[in-house]
Amino acid sequence: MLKMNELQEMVNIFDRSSVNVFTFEYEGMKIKLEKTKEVHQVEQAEKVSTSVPKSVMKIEKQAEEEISALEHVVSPMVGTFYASQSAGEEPFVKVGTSVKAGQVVCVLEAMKLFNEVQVEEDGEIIEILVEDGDVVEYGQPLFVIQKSQ
Amino acid sequence: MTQRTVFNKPYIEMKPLGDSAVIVQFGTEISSIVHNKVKALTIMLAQHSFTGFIECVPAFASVTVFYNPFIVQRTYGSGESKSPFQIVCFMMEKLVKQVVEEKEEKPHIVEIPVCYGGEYGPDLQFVADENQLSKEEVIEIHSGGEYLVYMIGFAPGFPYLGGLSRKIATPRRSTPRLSIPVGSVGIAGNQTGIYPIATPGGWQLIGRTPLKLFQPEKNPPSLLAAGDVVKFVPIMVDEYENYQETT
Amino acid sequence: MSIKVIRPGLLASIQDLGRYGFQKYGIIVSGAMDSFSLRIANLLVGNQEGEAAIEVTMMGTSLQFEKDSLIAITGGDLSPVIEGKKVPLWKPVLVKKGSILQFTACRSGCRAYMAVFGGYDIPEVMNSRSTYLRGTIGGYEGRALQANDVLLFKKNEQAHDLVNHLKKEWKDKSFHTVDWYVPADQVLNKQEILVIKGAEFERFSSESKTTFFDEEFQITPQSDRMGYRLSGSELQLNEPFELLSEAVAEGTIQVPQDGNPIILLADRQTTGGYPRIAQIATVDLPAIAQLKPGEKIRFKEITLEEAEQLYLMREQNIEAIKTGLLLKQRSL
Repeated sequence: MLKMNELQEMVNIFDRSSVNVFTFEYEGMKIKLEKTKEVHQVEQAEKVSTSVPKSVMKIEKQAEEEISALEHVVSPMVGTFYASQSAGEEPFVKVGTSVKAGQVVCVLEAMKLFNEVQVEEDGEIIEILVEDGDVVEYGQPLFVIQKSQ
Repeated sequence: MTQRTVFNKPYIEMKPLGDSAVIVQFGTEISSIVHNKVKALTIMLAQHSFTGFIECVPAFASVTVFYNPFIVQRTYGSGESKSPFQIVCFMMEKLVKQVVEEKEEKPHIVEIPVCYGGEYGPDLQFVADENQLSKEEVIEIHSGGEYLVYMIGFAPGFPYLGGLSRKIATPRRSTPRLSIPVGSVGIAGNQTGIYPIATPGGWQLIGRTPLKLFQPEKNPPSLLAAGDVVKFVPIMVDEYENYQETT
Repeated sequence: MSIKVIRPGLLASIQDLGRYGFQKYGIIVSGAMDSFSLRIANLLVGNQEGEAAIEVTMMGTSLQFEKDSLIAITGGDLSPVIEGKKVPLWKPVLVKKGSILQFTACRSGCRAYMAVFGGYDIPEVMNSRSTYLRGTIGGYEGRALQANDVLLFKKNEQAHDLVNHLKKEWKDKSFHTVDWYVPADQVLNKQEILVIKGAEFERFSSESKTTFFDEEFQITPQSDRMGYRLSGSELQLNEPFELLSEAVAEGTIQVPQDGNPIILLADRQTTGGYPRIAQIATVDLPAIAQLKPGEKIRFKEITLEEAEQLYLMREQNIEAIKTGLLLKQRSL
């Protein structure tokens, strides 16, 4: 299996290069790097995820121990991200918050309506990838959560 | 019929009552001249209202025009940098210039039957004593006058009447009554009035009318309107009790 | 379709956007104290924004649904619950037949609005369904709601798409709702109230003019739908003067001889003769309506032009909410 630092080096080189798509197979692992606007894609034999490189690296790093337990909560729509129900209130979740399936973790404003985003499984919030007021795209990862075993 | 503009040398001031109303003020005193201007603009507005106009409220010396700023802006605000308030003021100025007073026009006279004294007018004697008159003289003076309805306010259908003779002016009761029955006719200082709904009050009660001043089931819901002239007509107790509204 | 009043609570009455056009006859406007919340409640269930709704004051009201009903509750958080479970605010909610909805505690704000799909079947009096409590007209028999009153709903030609949508995943719950809502930020927890100077502002002493904007005022218990009486520093005129009675408006702040300001609200008289120190910007009237006796406020001066701009922005915002709701319902 590829070492973490080797993978990182490979992404960095790809980033600086004029190459737009790069596929690499090694010991049963398939890696595909693709430049689409600011978004790069990493495809692995067992797992597919879409993300900016930073979060990809993070996932991969922890993946050495328990790759299957980490998941992204992605945005179901284009909208403005809010971490709390209304201005000045406590955020729905913080890093380290334990969440239950169906729990609301943030709201997205679109067309003056606030849409609640729920988690699908029990777990713990590992990282919040966007900030209050950020405009998020459809499919953009919002949180990294670690699923409960 | 001679017509002349009411506002040749106008005293007109327009001021905002918040962000959704303009007070068009014609003076600072109670007078029939000022009242005629108030009445004229009220009639004018009923005939030439504007999009976004909600209603107007005539008073002693002003007409307040309520409007929806959003609709006014959307309708009249395109291209110009005028605010809704400025737009409405501009329209009112234009309207005021068109207003003409019809001197010959007869006012709407409303006769109000009143049963004076007795249980309906418990303070008639007091008003008589206070003015060194007999009860009959008080009734004669009160029912002999013509009273201009300057405005309606305070309670539904309550007229602010002008024209009470000084001969029967009487101060308010020192202790107000907790409830004054509907239809009570009273005197307070140099004002006379009729209570359209039961309410506490300190007026000297000289009689009662069987007419309903507040008629929620009718349109308009008030027997009287600003600009009407009221005449009181004395009736007997049995007439009061048998009174059937003919309207 | 109907609901039955089990307990009326402190004060519950039918209100819409008010009775306009009759002030010149002394007929007060009445209507919802927090008109923004009433409008949103109606829009959430697919009604015209000016339909009548129940205005619930603070707590104690409980209502039973005699059929499955689509409702929306907005305004203050009066902790509405069904079978011990909190009913969410600012969302359309489908409630199961037989359920009892209770407003249990005043968590924030002061007044909640409950709209039902189709609207309440209440006769109009002078073009409005609002209850004029003192005049005993409008609303439900011209009075506040009482135990055992039965409020019928207007008949609907067709079922709301939302009802069908919510029924699909309803299961056995006593109520079911959606995962989106309209934000309530605009009306709750606002202590700084925007005003423009009133017609007689300059007639007040220079000390009172400063005090009015610098100090806090407390809402006294002698406050109701007619007006809020405030306590704080007493406001004095430079010299007494006679003011002729003329029209007042919702949000007019007048100062009687005792120097304690009164904010005129939904059930105000049509005319008044006290000096007017200020006028609350329309955009902040819902916020005032959600403040309770005992709470403190501060006044902040803005210009008429700013008040108008805020008014227009609020209306544009509501237009956008209408579009958003329409698209949402179409996408079900």
